Order: sequence, then structure tokens, then C-alpha cells
Amino acid sequence: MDRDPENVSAAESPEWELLQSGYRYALSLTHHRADAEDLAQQAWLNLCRRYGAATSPAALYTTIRNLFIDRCRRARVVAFDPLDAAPPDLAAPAPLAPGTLDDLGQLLGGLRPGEREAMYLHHVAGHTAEEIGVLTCQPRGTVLSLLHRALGKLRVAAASAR
Amino acid sequence: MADFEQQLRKHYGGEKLPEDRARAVLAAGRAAAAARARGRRTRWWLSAAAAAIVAVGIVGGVAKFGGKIPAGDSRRIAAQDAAAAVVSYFSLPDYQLPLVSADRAVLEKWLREHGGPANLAVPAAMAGLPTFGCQVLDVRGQKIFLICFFLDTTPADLAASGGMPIKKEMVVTAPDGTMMKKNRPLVHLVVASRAAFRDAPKAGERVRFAAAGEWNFETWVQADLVYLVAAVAPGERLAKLARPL
Repeated sequence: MDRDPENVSAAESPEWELLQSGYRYALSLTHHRADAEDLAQQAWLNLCRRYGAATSPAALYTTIRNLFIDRCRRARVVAFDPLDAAPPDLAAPAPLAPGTLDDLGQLLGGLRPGEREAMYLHHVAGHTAEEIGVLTCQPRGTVLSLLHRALGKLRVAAASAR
Repeated sequence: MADFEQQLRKHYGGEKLPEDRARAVLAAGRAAAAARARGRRTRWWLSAAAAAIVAVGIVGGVAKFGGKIPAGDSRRIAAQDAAAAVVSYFSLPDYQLPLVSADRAVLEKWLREHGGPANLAVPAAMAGLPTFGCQVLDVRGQKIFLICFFLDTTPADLAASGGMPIKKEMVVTAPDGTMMKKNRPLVHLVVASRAAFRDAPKAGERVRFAAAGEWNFETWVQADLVYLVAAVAPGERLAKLARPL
């Protein structure tokens, strides 16, 4: 099937790639496709209205992150860190098909947004802990701790799912 | 680990914003950028027109008053402006005071070094409260000086601090048993020069403002200074704290 040349060029343009990467980042925060689509759209429009264009991944990620935090606050979804050392119980996983992508998606759903975000930025986007710290305004140690805790949770969840 | 990273990349790499939605977002972005560019051109013309009108007004004013522009009090602030600045500053979730100390003398010295009054008089009821920190805020070009005190602090907290500044946060237990952090309530004593205010209370008069949200304020004048006590606390409690010396 022939594709419209304009559409083909749009799909290969840098702004298309940037928008898609913003969507994936939003998905790492929300773990919900529809919410991630809304976040990516609103952030993109905010940048275009404010600066005339969205050209920088850092600006897009920061805008998405701020919007996500705003939405959580508006919805009064406040996450408090439990002070006791024991990690929070993960929800009992539904029957999984081990080794599949759905399996991983379900395991990621058991993580907190900050942990998923750190995992995405480090393992997918390839940022160092230092860079993630700058991007998310957190100390490097906190980022490393988030990554460590997320991996630990995934290990526990994967073991209990088997 | 490499296998895990590969799986994670595959998981997120397979996620894409639906093509129709992505095209709509890009188109809406271009439209917003175009509207912004049009708005900026319009604003430029409006700014130029406004500047011309202001220039004509200034020239006319100078001509009328023979070059002597009357000294107005447009830069002076009202007590409500200071109150609004305090509320706005302490409503920031991550506000940082430039100096935190349990020693009030240290805070007063720091304020004096930053242009604060030398004859600051803390109300008797507040003098017994442990201090948290201080700050200087700029309200429309006028400096106001703050000392923050802990409102409800038990002797156990003071003993536990061992002379060190008490932490802003405390640990509380939610009804469901979850441990969480919560900010300790503070009361702020704001001081500024009387000259900075356009409607300061008369000597001996004490004015209590209408509450903004849960905030209450009480203001009075002593010597050449305007005092304002602000806290998220009932007005009656504030009145007791702000009792004159």
C-alpha cells in the first residue's frame, strides 16, 4: 500500500521521534496508555505555546514530569514513604506468561512511578544516575537507591510469579 | 542484566503514540506556535503604543508640574501585601530558609546584617517559643524581615534536639497506622520599617486580618516598626501570642 509522502516524512521527522520518546517517558511515569497519551499531548502543546516549538528531550521530559506531579496533586494522590525498613507488599500478581512482554509490563505495574521513571531513564534512555539526578532534581544517591529498590522489587515479584 | 535491559527496551520500544493521535498533536503544536508568533507581533505593537502613551503622559506631567513630580506612595505596601508574601512563600512545598537556628540571637544578628531593624522586640508570649529560622522577603521592592518559631513544640522535642535546630518535619502516624512525615506548625513574626507601609495601624492599635484560608494575621506598630504575626492557627491563639510586651 502506498503511503502519503507527507505522512512518511512526518513519521521520520525529529519532532515525531521526540514526541514518541516523550510518550514512552510519560508511560514510564503513569503505566497507563491513555494517561500517557494525554500527558505527552499536553506537554507538547504547552512547550509550543510557550516557546514556539518542542525541540529538546530534556524540556519535554521536565514538562511531562511537572504535569504528572500536578495531576497527582490535583487528584490528591499523595505518596508517603513508609519509614519502616520493610518494603511494601506488592499486589498479588495475576497469572502470567513467564518471559513475555506482558509479563514484564505487569511486573513494572507493581513499581512506584519514581522507580519506573528511573528504570526507564537508565535502562532504556541510557542516562547515567548523575544525569537522571539532574533531570529529576534528585541526588545521585537517591536515583541509585530507586534503581536498586526497583530491581529488587522486580526480582521478588518475578520469583513469586513463577 | 543485559537480557533484562533488552527486555525493558523491547517493552518500551514497542509502545508508540497512535499515529492519528501523534499527527493531531504535532498539528496542534504547529497551530499553537503560529498563534504565539501572531500574538507576539500584536503584543509588540501594543507595547509600542502603550510606551508612546506613557511617554506623552510623562512629558505632559513634567510640563504641568514644572519638572517636579509629586512624591507618591505607590511603592509603599499594605500589611495585607506582607501577609500575602508570607503565605505565598510558606505555601511552597520545598521552601528553604537561608538560616536555620535554635538560637534567636543568631537569627536577629543575621537579620541585622541583612538590613533588618536593630530594635526588634519579640512579643513576650513568642519569646518562649523555640525558633526555626529567618528570612528576608522582598514585597514590591520593600524588604520585610521574618523570624519563624515552632508553634506547638513539646519539651520532649526540645530535649531531643540537644541544642540543635529542631527539624521542620515530624513523624506522625496516620489513622491507618502508616508512619509519615508532616511539617510542624510555625508562627512567623514579620517586622518592617513603618516607612515601608502606606496604611500601618496607629500606635496602640492592633488589627486582625480576615483569614486567608486557614491563615490568621495580627499587626501593630511599635516604635518605628510594623509587626505582623502570621500563622495557620485560630485568631484567638494568635492574639495571645501577639500580646504586647
